[in-house]
Order: sequence, then structure tokens, then C-alpha cells
Amino acid sequence: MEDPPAVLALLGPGLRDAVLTIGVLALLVFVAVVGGVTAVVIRAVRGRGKREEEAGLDLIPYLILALSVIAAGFALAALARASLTPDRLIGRPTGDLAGALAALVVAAPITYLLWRRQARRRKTFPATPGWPVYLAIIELVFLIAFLTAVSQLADFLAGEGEQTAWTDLLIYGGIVAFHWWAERREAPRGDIGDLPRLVGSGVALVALSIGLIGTLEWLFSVAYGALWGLDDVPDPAIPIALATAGAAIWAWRWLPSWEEEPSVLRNFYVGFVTTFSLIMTVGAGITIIATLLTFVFGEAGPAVDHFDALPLALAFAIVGWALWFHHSRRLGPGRTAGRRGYEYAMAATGLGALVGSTTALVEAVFRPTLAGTNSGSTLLIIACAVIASGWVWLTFWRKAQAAPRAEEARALPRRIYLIGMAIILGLTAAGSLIAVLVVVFRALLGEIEADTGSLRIPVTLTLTAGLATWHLFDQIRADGSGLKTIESKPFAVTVVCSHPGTLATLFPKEATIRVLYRGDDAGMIDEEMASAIVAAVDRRSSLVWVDESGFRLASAREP
Amino acid sequence: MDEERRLPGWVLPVVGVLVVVALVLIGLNREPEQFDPESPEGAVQSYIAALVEGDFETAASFWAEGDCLPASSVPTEGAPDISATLVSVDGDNEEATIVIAITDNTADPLNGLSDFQEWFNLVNEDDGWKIRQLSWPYWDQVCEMPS
Repeated sequence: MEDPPAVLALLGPGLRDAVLTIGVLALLVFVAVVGGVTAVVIRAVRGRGKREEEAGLDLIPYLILALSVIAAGFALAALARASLTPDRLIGRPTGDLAGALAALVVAAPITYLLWRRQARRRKTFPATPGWPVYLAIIELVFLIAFLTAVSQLADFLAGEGEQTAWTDLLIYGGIVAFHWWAERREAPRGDIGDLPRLVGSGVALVALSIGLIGTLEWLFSVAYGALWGLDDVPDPAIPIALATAGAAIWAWRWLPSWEEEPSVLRNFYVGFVTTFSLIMTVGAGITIIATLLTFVFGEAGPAVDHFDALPLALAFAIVGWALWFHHSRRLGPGRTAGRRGYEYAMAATGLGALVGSTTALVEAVFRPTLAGTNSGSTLLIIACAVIASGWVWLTFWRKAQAAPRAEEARALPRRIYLIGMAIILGLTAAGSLIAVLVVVFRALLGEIEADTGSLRIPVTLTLTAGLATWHLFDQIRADGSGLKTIESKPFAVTVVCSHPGTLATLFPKEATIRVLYRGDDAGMIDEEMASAIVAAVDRRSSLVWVDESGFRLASAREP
Repeated sequence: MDEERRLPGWVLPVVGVLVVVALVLIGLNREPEQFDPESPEGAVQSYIAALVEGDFETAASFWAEGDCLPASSVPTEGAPDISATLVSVDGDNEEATIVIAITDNTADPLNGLSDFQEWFNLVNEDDGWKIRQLSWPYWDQVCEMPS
């Protein structure tokens, strides 16, 4: 592992690892969420009708409104803290009051005026993306603030934490509840209409997971301590509070039925949570198995110390499995977009982990020792990681390969997996090869004696990442050949409409178009709809029905 | 949505303004908590009260003997204009650590933070709780060990 940044070097090893892990995870989650939301917003904008186009995205006013609500909300919380917090030692809180009042005087009028303006605009343009984006931002910010206040209060009530402001709970909770009420009055529409509920569900799910893991760890630690003696039993106050609050909010935001079919955003959310929870479960499973194996075959110390990581690992495994069990059933039957996203994400995780753990295993096996043999425990742990990552990759890759190639090859998750992983692993292999060649050339030029020991990691990484890249490019080539075959295959489209417009000119030459006239004016096809129909047909024989509500599609027998 | 069920537009702003005014009035008129002067938090309260009132000799009477003490009993920047709340109390009958949150009422909000926390380590001596290891508000003073 490379040296951490200088700032992190100041931290202790345990805290530094935690910061690095959390930082990487947070970055991945951030990139994934921002990427998904951006994709859906772009899709929503492209798919809007003329009426919505007149309204624009309406994002800027809603973003200003969100900023002013956030400023006003936190200022009100500061004001309540200053005025109502107990245990004032001395003086009047004039500094706090002045700061909060200043922020309120600026933010509150902006909030009021913009809220009314946007409420009027929503009556005319009810499907602009600004409204759900605004609700999602507010839910994200104030739900996190509310859950933080819950955990602080629990810590204080348990006698562990500092004085806390109960007023925070009221203010942040009130703002969240008010926006839930506003959302019920005027439900967001369109492809990103799910966004506020998904953000609320996600934040609550994180709190619920942290709370459940902490609570289970506490329970297992108590049991472990009672059986074998364990001094370090974690405090349960914060986990229990987070689990309770998180469960209530999650049930309120996630469990009620959804009015519309799954959107791209909801598929993305379910796929992401399913993937993440399975990674959690597998990671905890590896830890448990490796702990058992190293106790039997490795250099284990006293059993009570060796197994003291089990309560946390068991808690992770149980919570991860429960999350996976719940969400995997919501991916839908067949190869839905959500299921594809989940399976290719798991395959990518497995392949990446396989390359990394294989390299680590080779390094551990061939690392020279000053005396004795290499640590058996280290080898066992890494070997478990190799086997688990290989199993994960093979399982999910085989599932993808078992699906009909023609349809699978064109799926976006597969393309992202193949191309994305090929780029990442290809760059890794190229970088490792450069590191190998630097040593080789320096030796050839007579500067140093060849140090083969330093070549273990780059050579192994070049081979493993190179092999994986070759495999991925081979699949990309095979998919491309399959697509060419599909593209030259004839297909037939029957369209029931009032007037086909330019539809026939947009289909490729392999298409045979048959038009059945409805005999009324309710099914006219304009250019925008024609493009949408061509994209939806996607070179498959189809029956298209056009009426005043748009078009519907059904598969037809191939010619 | 049923228009008749909506509240008039002026109701929420008026309620909001009333809540804010009420909070400000409460904040300005609430008296500080009175802690037992024989307790660690009471000692800190008395110490800060003396500092705020400019009674530096009384404040210095709360300093523990035998510890590293400021060269002068007059703080670096004179009597502070602050408000303070108790954050946490930790310790036993011998020693205690008090954490307080201080708001500097004179600070320019555009020129740095006006809120900070201070830690007070106290020791229980014969004549009550005494403060040792002083920092605030004697930041810039040389600490002198007793001879």
C-alpha cells in the first residue's frame, strides 16, 4: 500500500485506515450517485414535451430556494439553541442571537418569495425537474442533520456525550416533516419524481444499517463477554437510537407502494443497494472464515483475543444479508435494468478484487523472510479473498453470459462494465509494465544490479491485470461481431396510427414498415415521437399503437 | 388540491416572525443557571463571572497553587465580553474537567470564528475547586512556575 497523504500520516494507523476507507467509499458513493442523477436528469430533459420545455429546467430558482431554506433552517436552529439551551453559565447570548437573526433576515424573505413564486409556477408547469431536485436536497441536508441530532441526544442521555440541543431535533425534524407534507400535496412528476423518496430512503437506510450493525455488535459482544470474557463492549445508545429513527423513516419513505413503474433512478438505487449489501455480506463472510481458518492452521494467539472481531463481522454479515434479501427481490423478474446493473457491478467488484488479491497472494508467497517461513495467517486471509473474489466474478459473469447475447450485448450496464473495467485494468497493467521496464532498463544500462525482489508486485500485476484486460477486450470484440449480425437482420414493424409522418424514413433499410390507419386524428406521429418509436423498437419486430396518450409497443414474431 | 383548504399566504410568515421574536426575547431575558459554588461547574461559573466583571483578583483566587500560572492576573485583552454554556463535566471528587462553549460577543463575524470551546482542568483543594493549566483568556502570557 502506498504512503498516505502527509495530513493523514499525523493520524494513528487505525484511524488513518478508517479515514482512507471511508474516504474511498464516500468518493465511490458520491460519484455513483451524482452520475446516476445526472444521467436521469439528462434523460428527463430529453424526454420532455413542449409544454415543459417552455418552463425550462427551473433548476436555478429551486437551487437558490434550497440554499435559502438551508440557511434559514440552520439559523433558526442556532437561534433556538442560543435561547433555549439549558446550562448557560454566564452572559446573554447576544453574539449567537445576532448571527442567527442576521442570517434569518436575509434568508427568510428570499425563502418566502421564492416559495410562493415556485408554487405558482408549479401550477402551470407541474413536471419540471426543479421541484423533485429541491425536495431531494432539503431531505438530504435536514434528514442528516436530524439523525445527527438524534445520535447526539442519545449519547447525552446515556451519560456519555456532551450537552446537546433538543431544539435541533424539533427544528430539523419540523423542516423535514413540512417538506414531506408539501410533497404529498404536490407530488413530483416525471422520471426524477422518485428522487426525494429515494434520497430519504437512502439516508434512512444508512442510519438504519449503522444502527443495526452497532446494536447487533453490542448484543454479540455482551454474549461473547459473558461466555469467554471481553472487556471492550461498545456502548449501545447511539446505535439503538439510529436504528429506531432510521427504521421509522425508512419504512415511511421506502415501503409504501410506488405509484409508477420503476424509473431509471429507482432501478439505479435498488441495484446500487443490492450490490453494496452483497459486498458487505461477502466481506464479512471472508473475515469470519479467515478468522476460523487462521485459528486452526495459522499462528493464532489466545482464542478470546483471536475471535474478538467476530461480533462485528457477524453483525455486518447479518445486516448485509438482510438488506440484500429485501432489495434483490425488488430488482424485478427477468433481466431488468436494475438486475443487470447489480450483476455487472458485482462482476466488476469481483474482477477488480481478484486482480488485487492475486497480486497480494503472489507477493506474500514469494516475499523473502529473515528467518522461518511466511506468516500462515496472512496467506490464509489473502487466499480466502482470492477464492471469494473469483467466486463472485465467475458467478455473476456466468449469469450475464447465460442471457441471450443479442439483447445482452446492447445493454448499457454491460458496456459500462466491459469498457470501464478494460480501461481501468488496462491502465493498471500498462503502469505496472512501465514499472517493470524501468528496473529492467536500469539494469541493462548498468546503473544498478537487477533487484528481482522489487519486481514481484509489478510483474504479477502486469500479468493479472493484462490477462483481465485481454479477456474484457475479447468480449467487447465478440459483442461487436454479434451486433453486426443483429444489425443486418431484417425486422418488421406494424404501426397503428392516424398519420406516420417521417417515421418510415428514420428506420434502417432492414426494416419493413406496415402502417394501419386508425381513421381519426388521435394518433398523429410527429418527429419527436418518430425518433422515440425507432429507439424503442430497437431493430426488433414490433407492433406499435399510437393514440392521444402517446405510443405503446408490443413484440411481434420475427419475419 | 382543494384551494379552500389552503392557509392564507400571510399566516406562515407571521407565525415565523412571532416565533423568532419570542426566541429572541427568551434568549435576552433568561438568567444564567446558578450552579453550586462548591461544585466544579460552580467554580468555573464564578471564575468566568469575575473575569467578565473585571474583578481579576477574585478570578485569580480560583487558580490552583503550585501550577504553572500566568505572569499577570490581568487577561491579555482585558475583561472578556462573552456568553458561555456548559458542554460537559467529567471527573471525580479529586479532579474534574469542565468543557464550556464560549461565544465572543465582540468578535467581527467576517473576521474569524466567534464560537469556541475551552477546557478547564480543576483540582479539589482544601478551600474548594481550583483551576489549573490556564489558557483562555491568558493565551499570550508567559507561564511562570512557582519558585
